Formats: sequence, structure tokens, C-alpha cells
Amino acid sequence: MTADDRAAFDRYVVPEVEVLLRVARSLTRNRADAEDLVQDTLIRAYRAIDRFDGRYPRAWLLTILRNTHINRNRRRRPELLRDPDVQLERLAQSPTDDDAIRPDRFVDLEFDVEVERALDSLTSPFRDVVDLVDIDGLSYAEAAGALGIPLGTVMSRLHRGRKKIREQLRRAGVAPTYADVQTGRSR
Amino acid sequence: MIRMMFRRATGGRWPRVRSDERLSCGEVGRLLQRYLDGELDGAAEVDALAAHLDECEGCGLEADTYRRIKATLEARRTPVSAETVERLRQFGERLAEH
Repeated sequence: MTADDRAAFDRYVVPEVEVLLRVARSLTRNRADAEDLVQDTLIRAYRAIDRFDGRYPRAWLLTILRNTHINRNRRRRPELLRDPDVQLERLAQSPTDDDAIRPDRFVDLEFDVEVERALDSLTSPFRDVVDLVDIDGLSYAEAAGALGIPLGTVMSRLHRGRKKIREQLRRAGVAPTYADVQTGRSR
Repeated sequence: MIRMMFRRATGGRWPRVRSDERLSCGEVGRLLQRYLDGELDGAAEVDALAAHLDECEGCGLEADTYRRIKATLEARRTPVSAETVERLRQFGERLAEH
């Protein structure tokens, strides 16, 4: 590696490690696999840094991450189970403060529970986009790079995914529409 | 109506939304997700949409619901382990030394 390449690697790649790990966690749904995936991505980025023009490093790295993920999955079982540790951690982080017993908090909690339920019922194409944009905080362009799909597809899947969540909230009675409010269907 | 059809056909690229334009609820529905995600291209679109949401109770309620959904999902963002990030950073730095 030349001094220039080393500087480019330090400048463009190393600062993105945290984002890469977050996205890898969404793609693999497994903590150990996510770390392995980022390591492989770093190795590929290291090999390709001399050909990188310095524009949009995050998008470049997310594309490498996605390709690495696809290649790894070809050699392994396609669908991985969710990491139980992550799920347990999430449960442990549920609110336990005194606010939790306030009646308005119940509504909030019901809302949260329904969002969670709706998210779990989304099929993979919608779920992946919602995970990357809403949970991991990626821009549309970054999500498009990470999933290898056009920007317009990210937008339409996100729109439809959120609409499904919104519909489920309405059916559960925790988020009426304006028409419901007008006709007295709200609680 | 015709303006809306052209916008739909061109993916919202033409004719551009003006900041003083009064958008229809249908157009707001089409732009709302991008607005909430900060992904609208022009300040004029943002202004016109914000003005509609202030005035229209129905769209305002929808926007609030989607904001809550987004906030609930955002709260699911569990932090990545600082130790793992550090380990991967060091791995990257060692790679660069080769």
C-alpha cells in the first residue's frame, strides 16, 4: 500500500466503521456475523482503495458491504435467525421508570407494541428498507447502495412499508385517521 | 389537476412546486414520506408542504402519526458496541499498515 492509499484508507474507510457495523447488523441480524462481514468489507476496501476516486465514500463502502454479504450468503445458509442476545437486551431496555404506570404511557406503550408487531409482519423487501432508513438512519441513496436497488424502489418500498405499519396501528385502534375521528371511531 | 398528472408522470420533477403554491391533500400524501425524512429536493416544496400541514387537520394528523412511527422505530436503534467498533477500527488501521 502506498502512502497515499494508506492516507485515503484512514480518511475514507476507518471513520465509517460504525455505520458499516450498524448496517451489517441489519443485513445479517446477527452480531457475530455482522462483525465478520465488516472485517471482510474492510479487507475488500483495502484491496480496492487505489481505484476509489474519493467521492461518496459511504455509498462506495456500503456497495462493497452488500456485495460481500451476498457472496458470503452464497456459501452459507440463506436466512439467519435473529440473535437472541439482541432480543433479550431489547427487552431489558424496556421502560421501567415510574412514567410507565401513567395512563397516557399505556397508550404510548400500546402504540410501540403495535409498531413492533407491524414491523415484524413486514416481508423482507419492505422490512429491509424500513430497518436501514428508520432504524439505522441511512439516507435513501445510502440504503439504495446497501441493498443494490434503485433510489425509486427504496422510496416506494419505504412508503408501502410504513403504510402497512400505519394501517395496522389504525386496525389496532391506537392511531385513528382523520376520517375515523370525524365519524367517532376514535377511542 | 393537470399539473398533478404531469408531476406524477415525471416523478415530481416537473412542474416544480413553488413555495406559495397551495398543494392538494393528494400531492401532500405523495411527498409526505420524503418530507419527514428530510429528502425533499427544494426549499419551496418543504415550505409549501409545511404550510399545508399547518392548515389541513387531516394531513396534519397523518404527518403526526408517521412522525410517531418514525420516532418509535428510531428508538429501536440499539447502539453498536463501542468495543466492537474499536476492534474493527484497529483492524482497519492494521490493514492500512501493510
